[in-house]
Amino acid sequence: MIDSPILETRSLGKRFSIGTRFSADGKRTVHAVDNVSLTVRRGETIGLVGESGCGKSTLARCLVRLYDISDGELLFEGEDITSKSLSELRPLRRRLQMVFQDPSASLNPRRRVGDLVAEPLRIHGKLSSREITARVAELFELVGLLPDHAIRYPHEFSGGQRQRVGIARAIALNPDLVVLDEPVSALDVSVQAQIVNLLADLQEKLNLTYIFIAHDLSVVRQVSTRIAVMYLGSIIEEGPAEDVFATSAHPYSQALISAVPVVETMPSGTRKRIILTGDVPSPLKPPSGCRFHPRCPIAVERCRTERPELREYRPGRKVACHFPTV
Amino acid sequence: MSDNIVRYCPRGRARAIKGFLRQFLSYGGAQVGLVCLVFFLVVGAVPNILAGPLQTAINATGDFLAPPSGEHLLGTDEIGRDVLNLVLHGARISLTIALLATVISLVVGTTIGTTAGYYGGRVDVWLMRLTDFFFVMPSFVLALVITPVVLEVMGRGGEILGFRPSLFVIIVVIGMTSWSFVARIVRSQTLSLKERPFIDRARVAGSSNFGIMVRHILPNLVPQIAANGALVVASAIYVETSLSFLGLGDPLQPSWGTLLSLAQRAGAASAGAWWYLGAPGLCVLTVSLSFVLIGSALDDTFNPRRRVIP
Repeated sequence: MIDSPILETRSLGKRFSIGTRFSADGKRTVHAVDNVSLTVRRGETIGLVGESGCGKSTLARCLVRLYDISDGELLFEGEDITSKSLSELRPLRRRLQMVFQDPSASLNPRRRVGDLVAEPLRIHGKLSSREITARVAELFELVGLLPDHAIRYPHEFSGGQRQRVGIARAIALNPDLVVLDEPVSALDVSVQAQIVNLLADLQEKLNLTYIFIAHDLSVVRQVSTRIAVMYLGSIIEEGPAEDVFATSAHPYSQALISAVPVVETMPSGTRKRIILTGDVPSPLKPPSGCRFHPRCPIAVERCRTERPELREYRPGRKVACHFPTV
Repeated sequence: MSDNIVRYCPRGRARAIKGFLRQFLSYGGAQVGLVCLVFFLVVGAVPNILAGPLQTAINATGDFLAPPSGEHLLGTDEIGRDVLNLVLHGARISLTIALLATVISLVVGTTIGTTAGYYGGRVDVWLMRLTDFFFVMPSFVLALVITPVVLEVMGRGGEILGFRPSLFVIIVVIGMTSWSFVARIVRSQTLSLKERPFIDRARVAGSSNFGIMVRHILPNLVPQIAANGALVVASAIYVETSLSFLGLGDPLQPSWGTLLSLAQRAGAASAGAWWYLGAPGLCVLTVSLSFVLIGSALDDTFNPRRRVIP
C-alpha cells in the first residue's frame, strides 16, 4: 500500500479552442497539456518545473479537475476521476487540495479569513460552529498565524501571511494530496524560505503528498524528492531530484539547470552555461517531431520527423529524447 | 449552521465604513440627497403625528380649493381636504411602492444577471435575450398595458399581503419591468468575478455552484447593486407617479401620482390652484432627484476610476 500511486495520469491532455470559425484564423486548438503520464506516490514531493507557458498550471488545474480533461485518464488512488461531475467530485475534494499562486487574488477580498478557512470545514464536515471555530484556531496556529487573525480581512495581511491562510485552507480537511501551484513565486525571497519550510513541516506532521509546481529551480530542488521537467505541454524528463540536477539527460533540462544562478565557489569555467536560442514555439503550431528540436543544440534530422516518447532509460529515470546524455 | 463563525471585527469594519462615509459625504450631491431622503422617510413613517389621520370628504376641514393660509399651509383641494395632509400621507404610499418595487427589481435583476454570467453559454444567451426584451421595451408602456389587465383579472377589492390590489399590482409590475439594466450590470461584473482565482479556490474547497454564487460572487456585487438600486428607486417613483396620474392608482390610498391625477381632474391648473398641483409635483421631483444624487455619489465612491482626480 505504501508504494501504490496516490495519483496517476495516463496520457493526460488538455486542449483549448481559440477563436470561432468566424475569426480570421478560424477555430484553432491549443494543446496546453499533451500526453502527460505521471505517477505520484504517497508521501513524496514531485517538483514540476518548466518555463512560463509550458502548461504547468494547466496540468495542475487538470489534476484537481478545475479544468475538464480532454484526453487520457486521471486516477486518484486507482479510481478513475477523469469525467466525474462536480457533485461526484465533492467527497474527493477533502483529500485532494490545491494552493494557488497568487495569495492575494485567491482569497475573496470581502470575506474574513477565518470564514475562508472555515469554508471547506462547513462544506464537508459535520462540525458544530464551536468545533469549527476551534479547528480554525488550530489551523491558524499550525501555519504560524495568530488565532486572533481569523477576524481580519485578506487585505490586512502581508503576502506571506496570505499564503499561510491559503495553506491553512488547503490543509483544513486533512487532505492526502496537495497540488501547490507556484506557492512561493509571488513572494519575496526571505518569505519564500519561510513558506517552503512551513510546507516541509506540514508534510511531515500531516503525512502529505505534494505536487510542487515552480519555475524557480532552486526552490524545487530544495523541496522535491522527484522532478518532472515540462516543455510545451509534455514531460520531457523525470527522475529523482538530485539525480536530475546532477546528471540531466535531456538537452532542455541541461539548459534549464545551467541557468540557475549559483554563488561561485568553484573556479570559474567548471560550470558551463547553455544558452538556448529562440523562443518557446507557440503551442498553436507546435514543431514537428521533437517539440524541442528548433532550439536543441544536438538536434539532427530524426528529431524533426520523429517524436521521442518518454521512456525509462534507467530505473527511475525517464527522458523523452532520441539522444539522451547518459 | 451559522455563516459567521468568527466574531464581528469592530475595528477593521469600522475603519472601512468610516472611510466609505467620508468619501461618500464629500460629494455635495450626496449630502443634499441624503438630507431630502431622510426628511421624506421621516414624513412617510409618521404622517399621522405630523398631520393627523388621512382626510377624506367626510372629515375634510377646509374650504374648497382655498389657497395656502395659516390654517392650511398648502391650501385645500376641491372637496376641502388639507393638501399638506394628503401630501404627507402620499409620501408613505409613494415611497413604499418605490422601495418595494426596487427590492423586487434588484432581486430579479441580480438573480438573472448572476446566473447568466456564471453559467454562460446557452443559459446566458437565453437569459440575456429576455433581458434585452425588457431593456428595449419602455417599462412605462409595459406597465401601462399590464396593470389594468391584471387589475381587471384580480379585481380591486380585498387585500394582498397587506396591500390593496391596485398598489400590489403596481409594485409588482414596476418591479418586473425595471430589472433589466440591473441584470446587465450584474452579469458583466459576474463575468469578471468568476474568472478570479478565489472562485477556483472555492471550487477546489468543494463549494457548489450555488454556494459560489451566493457566498463569493454576491458579496462582491454589493457596490454595483447599491449604486444602481438608488437609480432604480428614482425611476420607480416616476413610473408609479405616471401610472397613478393616469388613474391606475388607488383613490383610497392616494400616492403623489394619485394626488396629481385628482388635481388634474379637479381642474386645478385652470382654476389657478397651483398649490394643489405643485405640492405633490415638487415632492416627486425632490425625492427622485435625491435618489439619483445618492445613486451617482455611491457609484463615484465605489468606482475609483470615476472619482474626480483633484
